[in-house]
This record gives sequence, structure tokens and C-alpha cells, in this order.
Amino acid sequence: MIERFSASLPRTRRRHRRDRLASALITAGGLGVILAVLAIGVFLAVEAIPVLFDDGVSLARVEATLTPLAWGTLKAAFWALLFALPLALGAAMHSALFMSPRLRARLKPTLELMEALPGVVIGFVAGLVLAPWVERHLAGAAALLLALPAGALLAGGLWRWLPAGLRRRLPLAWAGLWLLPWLVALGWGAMALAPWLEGLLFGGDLRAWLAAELGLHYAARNALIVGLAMGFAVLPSVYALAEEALAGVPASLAEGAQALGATRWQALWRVVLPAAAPGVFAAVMIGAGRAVGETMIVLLASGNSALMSLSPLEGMRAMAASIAIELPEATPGSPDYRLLLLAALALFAFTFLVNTLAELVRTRLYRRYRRLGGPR
Amino acid sequence: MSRLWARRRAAGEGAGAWLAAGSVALSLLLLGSLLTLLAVRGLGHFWPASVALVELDDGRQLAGWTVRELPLPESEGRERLYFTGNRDRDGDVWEWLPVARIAAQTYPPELVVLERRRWGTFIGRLVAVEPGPETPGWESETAAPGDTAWARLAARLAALERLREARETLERETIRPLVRRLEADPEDTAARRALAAASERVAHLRAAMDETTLVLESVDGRRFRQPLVEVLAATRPNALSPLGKLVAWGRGLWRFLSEGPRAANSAGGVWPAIFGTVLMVLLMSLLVTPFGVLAAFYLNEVAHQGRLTRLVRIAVRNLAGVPSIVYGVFGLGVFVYGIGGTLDDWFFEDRLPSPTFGTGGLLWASLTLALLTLPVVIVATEEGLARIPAHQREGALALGATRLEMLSRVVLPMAVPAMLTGVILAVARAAGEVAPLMLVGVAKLAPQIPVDGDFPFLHLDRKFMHLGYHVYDSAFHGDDVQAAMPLVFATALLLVLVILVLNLTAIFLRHHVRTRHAALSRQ
Repeated sequence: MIERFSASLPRTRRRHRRDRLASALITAGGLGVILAVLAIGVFLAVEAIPVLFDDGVSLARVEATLTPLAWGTLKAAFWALLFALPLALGAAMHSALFMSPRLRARLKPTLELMEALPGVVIGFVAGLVLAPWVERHLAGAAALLLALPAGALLAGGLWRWLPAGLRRRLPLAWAGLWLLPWLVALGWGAMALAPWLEGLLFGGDLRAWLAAELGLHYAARNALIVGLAMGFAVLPSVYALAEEALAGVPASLAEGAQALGATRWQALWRVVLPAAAPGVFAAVMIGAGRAVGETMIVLLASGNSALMSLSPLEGMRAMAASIAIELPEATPGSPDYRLLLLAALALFAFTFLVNTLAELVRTRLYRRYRRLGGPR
Repeated sequence: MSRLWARRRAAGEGAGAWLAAGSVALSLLLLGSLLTLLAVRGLGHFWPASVALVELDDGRQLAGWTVRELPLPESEGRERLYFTGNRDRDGDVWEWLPVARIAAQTYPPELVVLERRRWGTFIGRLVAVEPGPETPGWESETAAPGDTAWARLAARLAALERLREARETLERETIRPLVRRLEADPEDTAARRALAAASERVAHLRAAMDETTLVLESVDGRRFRQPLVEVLAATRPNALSPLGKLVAWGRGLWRFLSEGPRAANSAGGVWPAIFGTVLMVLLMSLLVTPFGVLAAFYLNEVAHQGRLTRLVRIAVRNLAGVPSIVYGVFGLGVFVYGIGGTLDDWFFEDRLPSPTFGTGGLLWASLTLALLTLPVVIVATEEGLARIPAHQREGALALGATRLEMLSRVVLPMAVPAMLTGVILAVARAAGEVAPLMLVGVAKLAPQIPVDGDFPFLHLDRKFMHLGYHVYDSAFHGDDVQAAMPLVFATALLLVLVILVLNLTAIFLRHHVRTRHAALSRQ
């Protein structure tokens, strides 16, 4: 026994030495990787910030180059969020509180797949299929925009008057699915009615009417198209985070409200939503970060002309698209190159700050949920 | 009345609930229509469309297939867009026709569709197959058009394919080794003689390929001669049975997947782009897996779990949200101009000023994408590590294992599915990213794929083609975007399918991990 113990002593020492060595290696490797990843910010700052103090590049030039790009970026992000937020938050509310658990377990991975669709494909469809189509059917597209939300409301109104048996067959918990054919039918109806409405209200040509009455010039690749496409890209990530925040609210809160006589919607609107507000805010921030940095969609669908107009029917040029087009041609070290690097730094700083803010808000929120006795 | 009121109250959930439900349906509708559009337009292109012979009211005839129909912009009625091919004869491949002017439209079975290397598609009639003067036994039969000429064309095309293969084998297996031998030793007379003989055989084969010409006739009666060697495929869509069309569809799909692009990327296949995408993604996952797992192990198992680690974790997580173009800028500035430029100065001075590694290439693209996907792998692996119950680790340590042994024998095997999930998600993300690649090494058309038989076999400095960039480039920079559209749809569909399959695998793996670990912690 004693012999075996003494024989294993050097082995044990070797094992421990190897253990310490491995720990050191993992530490060094891990730190190295993390530093390499964080080096991105450092590199951009070192390369781009001197341009602000350089004599060769006047501040006026920096301003003249970057302002239209910043404007374009923010305009695209604004319209994208305008499309994405109602859809994403509505879907999140529905799936967190009303949807049947079975459907919810299928819906989440489906929307995850939607998040994985490459930007270049969305941009291509938006720029080369959707944009010409909307240009040809402007009135139809406008009618669709109005008809689809109205259709959901109409479905709710009609549903109350359905016979009880049918109502049980089409419960609100599965409305996400059975509303689909209804919306398709309504959309088709709206498209069919649109030319007639256009003739009645706008003298047969909505584009001419827009130009004459409102002074809006219609460009085929415009902010609305970009907003729709980028909204499509941003929607799943906003949905996922908002849904997580809403579903994480301790069930006791909503149950208490309902016990006091609130409907499910009232409980959601007055109790659950305020409780989850920081999480929803974080989701919106992350969506904004994605919309600002998305490159291929704006590149393909925005027309890329550096306009500074407020009109949603005109195009724009965004920072990310500008970098993708111009940087490969710029000579390294030249003022143009540095200006583009400055744009990249601005993108990096903006998204990093926004994401950090969102992450901090989220961590705090989940700590609060734990205190309230939620599932986490 | 009061009963009715009660029913309404019980059933009512308020307008908001229905709007919320509607937004779920609308999101699914958007996703569904996008996928349907891609699938229909991407796969439909390969279906051999029936060729219509259109006769106008003034007696003019043309042949082609309908692309779309729209109402006329200024007046009543509709107009149709036909694809008529024959760019070499008409100067254009499209024709808009007012529907009212069409007198008759028939589908005669003898119309042939030829795909040619130059000038694109031919639509019209095949009059005769003329063998060259050197081939005895094949006499010109201008008098007997129709089926016999068609049968001959099929036989000749098959023969042409055999000749082409023979030439390629000769070039690959005889000529190229001989050239290499001569480069090593220019005095090798035996090799020189063998090379001359082989070249002569190749010239012979080429002459045999050039011999045959087709006599073609467009439907409005213009005849011209077409060398057979330019013809890539021939079909008679109107004479095909549904089964035959299905076979033709499969063949078209296969050629799309296996051939290289032609006509400035607006025709042909995407094989080099598939190859480039896969190779780049493979290299990237080789780089990202060890480093991502190392960083995750450090963060979760080794580092002191304090405020600093928490901040680092948040920072790494946030890097996943930094726009991909920013990574591209980093790759261009640091990898290409920084490291690549230095490598050129040190090792490839003789080739300067034309850069070797100082320009975008496969290696830099893979490195940039590896950096881009590191956060994905780190986050997924960390999630897997955090889900491993603490008693597994404690048990191993209590039995006398050192930390390394505990990590490598207990924790690592349990974390493998999570790591795999992370890597698959990283691959799916990398396969769809285009913006950073535009800066660090993707090419519109890369004639040589980065793997070949020349040392060092894998050329990390070469530019490569990429499916996503192919979509962008041919949709945005092509001469005739309209003609390229079907192929762009097919390429986009292929890319989306690859990414969806990868993501589904990751989702199933993650589900598997969660159920297994839930079972473990219950025991």
C-alpha cells in the first residue's frame, strides 16, 4: 500500500504540473482570443481618429462627407424600425401571452430561421423584385398596407359573432395560423379593388397625384422599400428578445390582475408590459443596432444616391453601403480611406454602445424578475 | 338582449389582441411569400418552357416564350414580353408585343432551342446537320429536314462530348506532365518529341470538333450556319412529354450546380461559387472552433467570476451585434494591408509591386469571417458549459481528478453538442455574409479555383467566388439584369437552402442538448 502510494507520488506531481500548465495555456489562449476580438475597436480608433486633427483633411470636409451618409443611415434605420417594431412587438405579445404553447414552440425556431436569411437575398428581392412591383402597383401596395391591419381587426370583430362551435374551432390561441388565409384573401381583395379606388380618389394615377398635390417625387428604390426589407431582417431579433422579456415576467403578476377582473389584454397592457418595459426597450435597441449596420439590403435597395431629403419616397446612401462600395478602391492612408474608416468607427461605436446599454438593462431586468419570484 | 351582451363580453378580448395575432400571421406571411417566391422563380427557370410561334397581324412571325404580361401604360389592352433569343441575329433577346396585334399563337413541335457558348440562346428551326469535308459518309441532306436532322444533331452532340473528354484527358494526363518535365529540363528531347505528338493529336481532335456545322433557320426565314462546337445543349421543348420535361429539368438543374458561369455571369452554372463558399467556410470553421472553444472555457471554467469577467462577457456578446462591414474594414486594414503587406515585403519581394498576400484572398476572408463568428461560437459554447450540472464537476474533483482531467474527460465530452451548435450557427452566418467579403477577397469571376494539382495545392492567396456575392454582382452589375434574373433567383435559393439546412441542424442539436441536460440534472 505504502509502496504504491510512494510510486504514484511523482505521477501525481506530474499530473498537477500538467494541470497548472494547461490552466495557464487556456488562460493565455482565452485572453488572447478575447483581446484579438476587442482589438477591432482599438484598430479603428487608432486609424481613424487622427483624421479629425489632421491638417490635410479639413473638418468641413469630414462633415460634408459624413453628414449625408449619417442621414441616410438614420433614415433607413428609422423606416426599418417603423415597419419592424409594431410587427415584432405585436407578435411577441401574442406569442408570450395568448398563443398555444405547441404553436409557440414551432413559431420561435421559424422566426429564428427568418433571422438567418442572408441580407443579400433580402436586398436582392427588395431591390429587383419588390421595388419595380411597387412602382407599377403603387396604389395596390398602399391599399395592402391599410388592408392588412384592418383585416386583423375585422377578423376580431367578426369572430365575436361566430357560432360558439366555430369559435371553439378557431381559438385566439391559434389565430397566428388561421388568420393567414384570411389575410391572403383580404390582400388579394385589396389589390383587386386598388385600381378602382385609385381612379376614384387620385384621378387614376397615384404617382402623378403625389407629385402634383404633395410635391413628392417617387423613386423606385426608396426609403419605404429599404424600410420594409430591413424591417423584415430586423423583425426576428426584436421579436426574440421582446418575447423572452415578456414571457419572463412572473406569472403571478398577470394572474393577480386577472383575478381582480382584468381581461387578458388589460393585464398584458397595464401589468405585464410595464414590468417588462426595460426588456422590450433592450429589444428595440438591438433592432436599431442591426438596422444601422445592415449593409447588403441598403446597398441593393436604396439607390445609393447621397440625398438628404425627408421624403420616404426617395432614396439615400448609408454609411455601411458607402464603405462597401468605396473602401476597396481607396488607397490605404489617403484621406478618403481614413474618412471611410471614421464612418466604420462611428458604426462600431454606435452599435457597441447601444448593445451594451441593452445588455445592462436586460441583466438588471432579469435580476428584478428573480426578486419577484419568476421562473429565472 | 342581456344574454347577447353577456356573450359579447365573454368573447371579447379587445382590438389589441387581434392586432397582435395579426402581426404574427403577417410575419409568417412575409416569410412564406419570400420563400415561395425564391422557390418558384429559382426552380421554375429550369423547366423547359413551351416555345410559342407567334404570328402578328401584319404577317410577321417570331418564336419565343412568354415572360410576363402587363396592361399597356397609355391605352387599353395588354402587352406581353417574349424571350426570343437569337441575339446574334436580332441584336436583342426581348420583344414586347401588344396582345391585340397577335393573330395566332401555335406550338409546333419542330422548334429547337439551342444553348450556345457565344450569343446565348437560339430559338428556331433546325434545317440540316452538315459534316465537314473531311468526314466521309456524312452527306449533306438539306432536302430532308425535321426528325432525321434532329436525330443526327443528338448523335453529333454525343460524339462532340466524347471528343471534348478525350481532349481534356489528353491535356491533363499527357501534356501538362510533359510541360512540367520540360520546364525542369529543357534539354529533354524525348519529352519534346512526345509533347509535339500530343499537341498534334489535340489539334486533330480540335479539327474534328470544328468540322460539323448546323444550318439553322429563324422562324422568319433567315438561314445561317452555326458551328456545332459552340452548341452546349439542344432541346425541342414542344416535342417533350411531361416525363421528358422532368428529365430536362433535372439535367438543367444539374448543369446549374456543376458548371461554371458564362456570358458575364448571366448564364451557365455556379459550381466555382459553391466551391469557393464551401472552402472558405471550411477554413473559417477550422480557425474559429479551437479559438472559440478556448475562449469559452477560459471565461466559464478558469477565469475568476468577478465583475471584470462579466464585463468581458458582455463585450464579447455585443461584438456579435457589431455590423459585419466593420469586421470587413478591420480585415482589410489589419490582415490585407498590415499582415499581408508585410508578408509580401518579406517573402514575395520579387513579385512586387503586384501583391501576393497584400490583396484580398481566401486566407484573409476566412480569417475575417472567423473573427466575425467568434462571438457566436463563444456564446453557444458558454451556454452549453453553463448548462452542465455543477455536481458533474464536483463529482470528478471529489474522485481526485485534477482540473484539467475534469475539464477534458467530463466537461468537454458533455459540451460537444453545444460546441457543434455554435460552429454550425457560425457556418450558417458566415455562408450568408457578403459585405465583409467585398473588402477582403471575393471576386466577380475567379478563373482558377483555389485548389488544384500544383504545389502547394491549396492557394490561400487566390481570390475566390462566393454564392452571396454572385447574387449581388449579377443582380446589380450585370449588362442585362433581366436575362440574369432567373439564375440569380436560383443562386439565392441555393444559398438560402444551405443556410436553412445548417440552421435546422443547429436547432435540433440544441434541442437535444437541452433535453439531455435537463434529464441529467433531474437524476
